[in-house]
Amino acid sequence: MSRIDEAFHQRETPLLIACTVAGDPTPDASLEVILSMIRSGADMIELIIPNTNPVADGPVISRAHERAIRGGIGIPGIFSLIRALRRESNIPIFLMTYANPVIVHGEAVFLSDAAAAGADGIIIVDMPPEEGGVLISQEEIDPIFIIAPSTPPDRREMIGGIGRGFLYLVSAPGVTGTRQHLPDDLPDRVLEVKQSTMLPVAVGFGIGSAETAYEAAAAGADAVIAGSVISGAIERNPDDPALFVGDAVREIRSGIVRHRSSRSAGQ
Amino acid sequence: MRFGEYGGRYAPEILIGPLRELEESYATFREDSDAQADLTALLTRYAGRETPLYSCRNLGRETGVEICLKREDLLHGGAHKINNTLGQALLAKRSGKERLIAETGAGQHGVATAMAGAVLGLSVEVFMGAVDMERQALNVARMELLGATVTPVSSGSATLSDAVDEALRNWAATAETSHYLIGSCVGPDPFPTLVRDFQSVIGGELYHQSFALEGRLPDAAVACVGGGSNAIGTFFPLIDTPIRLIGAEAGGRSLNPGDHGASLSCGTQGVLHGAFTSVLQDAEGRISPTHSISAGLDYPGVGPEHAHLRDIGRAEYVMVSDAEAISAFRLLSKKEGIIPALESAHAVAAALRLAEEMDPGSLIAVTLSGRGDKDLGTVIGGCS
Ligand SMILES: Cc1ncc(COP(=O)(O)O)c(C=O)c1O
Repeated sequence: MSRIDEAFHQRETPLLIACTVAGDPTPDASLEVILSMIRSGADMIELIIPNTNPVADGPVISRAHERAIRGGIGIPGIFSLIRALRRESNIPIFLMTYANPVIVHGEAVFLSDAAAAGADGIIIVDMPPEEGGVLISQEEIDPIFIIAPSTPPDRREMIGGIGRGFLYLVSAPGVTGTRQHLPDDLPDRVLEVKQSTMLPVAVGFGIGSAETAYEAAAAGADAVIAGSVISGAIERNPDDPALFVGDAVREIRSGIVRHRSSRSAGQ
Repeated sequence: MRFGEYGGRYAPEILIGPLRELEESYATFREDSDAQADLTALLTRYAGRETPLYSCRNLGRETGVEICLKREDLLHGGAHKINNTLGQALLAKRSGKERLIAETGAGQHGVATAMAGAVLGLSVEVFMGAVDMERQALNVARMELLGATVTPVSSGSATLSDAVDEALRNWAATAETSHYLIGSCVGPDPFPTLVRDFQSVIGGELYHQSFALEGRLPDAAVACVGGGSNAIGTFFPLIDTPIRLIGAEAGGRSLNPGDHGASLSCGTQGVLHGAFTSVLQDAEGRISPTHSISAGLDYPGVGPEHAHLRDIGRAEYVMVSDAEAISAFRLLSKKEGIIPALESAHAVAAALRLAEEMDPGSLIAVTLSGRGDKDLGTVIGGCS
């Protein structure tokens, strides 16, 4: 069982997946940010590889990509960061990257280097299963796939059958960013996805507050993914990003906890 | 759809549905004789096709080589871009879309999209780098006059590549009602095929006109390559002929990284904007900044079909520096009374170089992709 599988297996509440761009704002500060996410209640870490053309990201995470690139982290630096985390923690870590760095590095080599550094899973945002032959056939790291609002049922089944670790359900059309509320049809969509897969379902995009975390948990998500709120906290507090990231993670956590208490109180 | 090993659909899952829908609606559109007749009518009576093939009276005569110009600069809007925007806008309209999204660098594609949107009754939003908006203020005014909204993009280097990123992001949120009208033969499948097909009218006409007017096919066809749409439109219908196909890339101010836009001559394999192609990037796959005196060639990637034509040796790609392009710009203006776009001046310069080495009596066809009014500030004002 991978660390990811184990975390879902043992969960009592929906998991909190906290995500940050690796090396934002600098490699050293990024390590502190991630350790702070772990101390503040994150159950899993999504580590984004900075990219020059982050087409699936909204303005907040796009600026985090730019900061991290300026901060000088490279692919070896990202693998070192994972190794440094592994010395401190056994938390599940997965990478989120665009296809180009993986392809330029050599797909198979990249995936096995990432696994060797201690990463448990990988999402390659712009590598759908049709382009992901190498990704799907290797056994070293869990390939995690995305289900979008525009993904038709037959395709959902196909992706539900080949992904490992969990499925990443995008809450609403568009790019990453925080929202006031998640769409009303989210519970139905979570249910549809759960019916087409054996995998746990994590909901991401738009979750940046206790309220939206609560909504995702109440919609039936097995995990709640928060990203922009963390990049935003780093952007606003360049001198002590770790402290403010901790606050952001605790706030998201409180939404998940509220869901659990309302459930136990109401039933 | 791949061109050899190049191309593919490297797009976020959220765009896979819309891309499949586009592939299907395009397949229908191709077979629909009504749609095709409508497009032909627009191309002839609105855009001004067919464009002349003009045999230069003066340019290159000293070499004994004849140079013909395929005059896409005479089209409505002043560039070949309208061939593609009318085609895609008509496709979008027939698929029930209400809105067009486009990226633009110099503003030529944005203007051509705004025109197509205006004539077909579709609303238009154009994403344009903030830096480019400043450099090309006149085209911003034209787009707005034509009814389009121009949205500045200030991420990254605030130029063309960033504008494509932003257009893709916008499409991810609006695909149900909007069509992304991409401006060159780049992007995820099926865009490179779509754009190539709509631009192939250039090479198709060239083939027939060359027989009719010259009594023979050219020995070489030359076109400039930014994303590569006017070049692939020229080359594709000529692929099965013995004609040499030559693409002119932006050699910029030097061959140092960041100083040029020669993705085929200097790039390495990678994925940019949804396609596996030849890309200007560093060893870890970070896309390099680019430079060209002509905004339309200032792009770190290139259409995947060109990468394939290069690899199989069917087309050759050469670099033309900023300085050579400016000389050709001035020369064509003086010798023929035709002011070319700086992009097209790269093709003219490449043709002049070629004329030096070809046998007297040879015939070179150059695609003059656009007219140069937009570039007077750059050439005469000395700004870039
Ligand atoms: C006149 C002209 N020629 C060429 C280009 C380059 O595009 P492509 O290589 O797709 O033809 C542009 C792009 O803006 C242009 O305006």
